[in-house]
Amino acid sequence: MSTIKNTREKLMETIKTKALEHFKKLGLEDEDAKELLEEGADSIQSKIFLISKTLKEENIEALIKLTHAIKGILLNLGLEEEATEFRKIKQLYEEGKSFKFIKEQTQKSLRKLIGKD
Amino acid sequence: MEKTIKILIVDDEIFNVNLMGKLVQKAIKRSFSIFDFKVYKTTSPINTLKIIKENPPHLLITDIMMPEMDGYKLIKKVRELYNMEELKIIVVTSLEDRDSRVKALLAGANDYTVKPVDSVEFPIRIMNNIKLIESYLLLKDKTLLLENAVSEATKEIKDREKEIIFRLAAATEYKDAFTGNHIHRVAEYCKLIAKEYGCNRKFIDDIYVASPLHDIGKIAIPENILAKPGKLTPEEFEIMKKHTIYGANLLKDTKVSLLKFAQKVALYHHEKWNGNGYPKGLKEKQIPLEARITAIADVFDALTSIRPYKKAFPFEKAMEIIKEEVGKSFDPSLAEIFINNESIVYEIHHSMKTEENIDEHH
Repeated sequence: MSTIKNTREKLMETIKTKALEHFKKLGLEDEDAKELLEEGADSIQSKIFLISKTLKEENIEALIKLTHAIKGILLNLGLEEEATEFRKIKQLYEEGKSFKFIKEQTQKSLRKLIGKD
Repeated sequence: MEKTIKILIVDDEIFNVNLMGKLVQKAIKRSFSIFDFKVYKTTSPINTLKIIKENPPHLLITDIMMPEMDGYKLIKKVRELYNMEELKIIVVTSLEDRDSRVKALLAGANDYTVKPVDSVEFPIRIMNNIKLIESYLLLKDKTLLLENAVSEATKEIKDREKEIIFRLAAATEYKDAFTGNHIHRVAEYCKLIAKEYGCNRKFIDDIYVASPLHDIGKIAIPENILAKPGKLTPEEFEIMKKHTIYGANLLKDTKVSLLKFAQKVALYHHEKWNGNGYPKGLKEKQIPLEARITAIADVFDALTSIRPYKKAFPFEKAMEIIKEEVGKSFDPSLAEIFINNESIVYEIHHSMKTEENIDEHH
């Protein structure tokens, strides 16, 4: 439970400033921005959980779909740099890199996102 | 007229759907539209199709990578129901490659943009599509108004055409020394036979309006022959027979299809199924259908009406004569329809009865 809480807090630390700034640029009201920030964090957290699961199961196709999904959410939160990390995963797959290598890169990207790197 | 522009957003991520929803609302506020707006959101492509079938939006904003059904398939399914004017589709996706863009556009998307949605570009795209939808709805409304106006004008022309023809035919009847509802009853009998025979709507309408002109040529026949109380001499009958040709001459060289139709009725309505009629002695299906139908209607009404040379036969007697003439004067299949619909024929005969066709029992 505390791990989930810690992940959430660390995730928020990573995304909060950039996301709120992005929403401001989009012309959204503060209240809407805060609401969307929470929803965005929820979505990312759920994707992190699912990605970890697929890494354990070594399900590469599901992993590609999930990294694509998390990339979309991050982009909509204005986190382009973080999204690029997950864009690379698909590229590695298309380049024919081994699952082991893709797994390591994905874990690295996840750690960056939740501030454990 | 439709007053509400409906926008449907689909993305399997609730966060993306809600963000898009808020941006769309902002774009709506900036569009200064005369329309009302309703924004629907869903995370399910299957549900999207259900909504589209039940309550079609004017604009669909969709993602591509979705678990239940990808955006390409969704767009193709939507396009089976609505064209690019009726329902606009904007793709918002994080697929940045050219192939994905081309694939979505080929499937039927109107527009394609990649995440992150741009703070300036995205509302403009929405507003532009709203303007296109507004124009489409206004044009559709104008088209509908025009269609109604054309339909009303056409009806007025047809009514006018019908009235002129009936009045013209009535003028001939005055000369023929019998007035009343003869032409109206003939028109009704013809309509009944044509309808039961399975003729198309246009043919039924045409025979109803054109059959009253069957005797228009009598206008050129001397009154002493037309109104002669007794039997005509062979010479007089030869002159009388010419009313079919005079009628056809009156109606010839026309570009009006209804008058061409009427010309055939006027020329051939005295031809007989067995070839013993006039003016050409045509037989069976050489005689145009419109004339074969009018022949039955005209003879029956003449039988049940007073003429200068005869009294009106009772309804039953006239029906007997029609039966006797099946395959002789009349096309058997048409005469059969007339006989089989005796109750409707009686209804027409009875409801439009005038002085000239009061039954006289012998």
